[in-house]
Amino acid sequence: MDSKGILLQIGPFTVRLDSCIDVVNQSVNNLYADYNFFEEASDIFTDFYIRIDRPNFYRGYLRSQVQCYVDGITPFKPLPIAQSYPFFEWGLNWIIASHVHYYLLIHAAVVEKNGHVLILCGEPGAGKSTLCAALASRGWRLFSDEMAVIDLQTNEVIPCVRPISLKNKAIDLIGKLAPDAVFGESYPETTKGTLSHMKPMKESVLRGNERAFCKWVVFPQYREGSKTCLTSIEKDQTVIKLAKNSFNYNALGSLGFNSLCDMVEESHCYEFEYSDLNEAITLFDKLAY
Amino acid sequence: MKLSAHKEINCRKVGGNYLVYSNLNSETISLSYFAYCMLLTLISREMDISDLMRSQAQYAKDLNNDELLQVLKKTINELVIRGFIYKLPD
Amino acid sequence: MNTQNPLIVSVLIDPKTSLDLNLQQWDLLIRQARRSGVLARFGFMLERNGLLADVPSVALKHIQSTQTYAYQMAMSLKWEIHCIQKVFDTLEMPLVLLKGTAYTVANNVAAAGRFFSDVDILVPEDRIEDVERALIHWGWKATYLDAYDQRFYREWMHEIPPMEHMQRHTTIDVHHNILPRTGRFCPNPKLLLANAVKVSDENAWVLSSEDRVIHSATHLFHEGEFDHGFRDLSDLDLLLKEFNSLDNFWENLLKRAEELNQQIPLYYALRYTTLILKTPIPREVLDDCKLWYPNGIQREIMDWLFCRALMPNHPSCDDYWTGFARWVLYIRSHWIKMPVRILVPHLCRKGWLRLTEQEDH
Repeated sequence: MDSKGILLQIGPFTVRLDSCIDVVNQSVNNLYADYNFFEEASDIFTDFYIRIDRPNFYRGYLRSQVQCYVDGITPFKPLPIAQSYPFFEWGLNWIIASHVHYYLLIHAAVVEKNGHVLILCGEPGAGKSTLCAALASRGWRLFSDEMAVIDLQTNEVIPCVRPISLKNKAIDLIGKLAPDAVFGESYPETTKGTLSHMKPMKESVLRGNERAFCKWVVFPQYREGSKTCLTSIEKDQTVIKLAKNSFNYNALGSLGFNSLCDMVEESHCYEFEYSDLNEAITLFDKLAY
Repeated sequence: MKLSAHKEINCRKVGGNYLVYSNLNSETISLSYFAYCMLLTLISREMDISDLMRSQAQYAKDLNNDELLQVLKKTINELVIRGFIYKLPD
Repeated sequence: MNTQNPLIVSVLIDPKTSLDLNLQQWDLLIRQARRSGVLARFGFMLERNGLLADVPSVALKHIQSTQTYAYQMAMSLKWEIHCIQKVFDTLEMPLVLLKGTAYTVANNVAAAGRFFSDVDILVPEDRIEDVERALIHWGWKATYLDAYDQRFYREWMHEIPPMEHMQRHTTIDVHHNILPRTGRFCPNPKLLLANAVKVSDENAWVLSSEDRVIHSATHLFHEGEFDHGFRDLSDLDLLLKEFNSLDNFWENLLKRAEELNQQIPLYYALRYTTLILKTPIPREVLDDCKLWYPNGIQREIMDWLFCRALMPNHPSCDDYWTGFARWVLYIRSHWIKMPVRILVPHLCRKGWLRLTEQEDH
């Protein structure tokens, strides 16, 4: 079957996806249904080219593997064909993180309310995607579950709305919290456990061009049984922690440093421990008013 | 022995704290007020250690000369290793 | 062969041709440039020609992105050189830098926008052990290699195994020559070191201008890997254009190639910079070096191979035979680097490692 390219706008990027694997195209058409799709034309500039395909006969059919190509070459090891669609999402994360040095990129979830942005920054497993999904289901506008994108000139945070990756218990938790939410397929046995993607709210997608300034930088940590607790932290520590969690801080020089400092200067900075999602939502809602 | 700051460094105040960044190696560290003032001085001009000690004394009034020298040496050492300042050859 | 030049080749020859491109063409141009490692360089060329304001903003972002990254790489390189100089101060010997690192410290035009992976240096062979010991003392370690690879480097090659700094994770390649000792055309490294020039108040030396060109030519036309072939050709183009204004440069260049036994690589360098990038080289210079390569049929074959292999490493720049041409030149490069008794087992071993995915490079 010939691959049919999909060309769409994801946040500030125009992305082309080619795949012979039906489930990839179906998943993208489902989870990205509210996005702007284009036809190829001479007045379209595509930022990134991704192809998800079987690599060769041996790997593709005998070992049932799939590969992710970035403009024709791949920096990745092949994955089981069952993980074709997540491979697209991981591939897109990689391309953005390694090519985009005109924004400051931080590994964080980002949501917005009343014109103010909340950056949730943490190590994998800290619970930021779960918290992000919960807030996005309760009236906060989703910017991203994976990457804070910051304009180096203006310090505005730029939405890069994509399906939210949820793992293991979080899938059921959010499913219960937001019964109307649309989920993609479930992918067991990834390196991170069972994975599924929550379709972003339509409003977040439609308002994807609306930037805003950061007001809160929070380092969440889910800890079973813990009390909901927000603690102020010093701004110098915040800058250093954000820099450590940045994909491209080392590539940006003083521009990145100053942008980060300017943003933190205007923000309230906290560490946040929680075990109860509803309490967490209540706390952040109070913060936003 | 004279000391100087690399011209590729950036010092600033954020909130009530002080940070320095080096363009050479992307090191970003927190500074005490003492170290921050010392760096600002070395950014503006080279200095030998005795002049530096005289200029830094005002930021460590509760230390005697020996203690001040200890703190100064420790700070200098740390900043040299991390690539913010360097020793000029004699 | 593509009847039309790939976009990136056309714009490097004449940046003004970028003014006529539509967005889809800019899209392809950016990708070709990025893949061949010349995107930031292209950006600096546009800047120098006052054309940056005419670049569509969607394309300009990508160019500026790479320029930012290249600038930061140059900063890191500066720091790395500073750290290596400290080691060489204790050794009391000159630090002679090669390739991209050399272009940077010498402020050559070829340095702007260039990416670097390792630092390459040249030391006298009789001081290799001292240098290796000192680097280890200052925090570098030998990258792990099995017994075969250790022997490969130390007995047959022109460099010791790469060393990595334990904290900075940067790599240094310590060379004692610019070609392997097993090779048929190995130059005398003492001649290179004797003509090295100091380029700063600190301990930073580079090969003379002629030797920088010859080394670049030797590296490109003896190595078998063409991932950076187009970038390396572009380096040569920029070096030749810059050194053209030096007194007696062309005469010295040809004479030096003979002294170093590198007539063939220089012939190729001048031939393919002219053919592919239209580098302005005096007619008499081209005629003179053609005398080094009288066999017309062999010249045609090498043109057929190199005009494909040296194209940017992007699918849009390939024709049906590009892969084959690169493969032939890969075998050739090993053939001239090592005698058959070493070559055959070496290629078999490399092939086996690639098949079983044990090879990193």
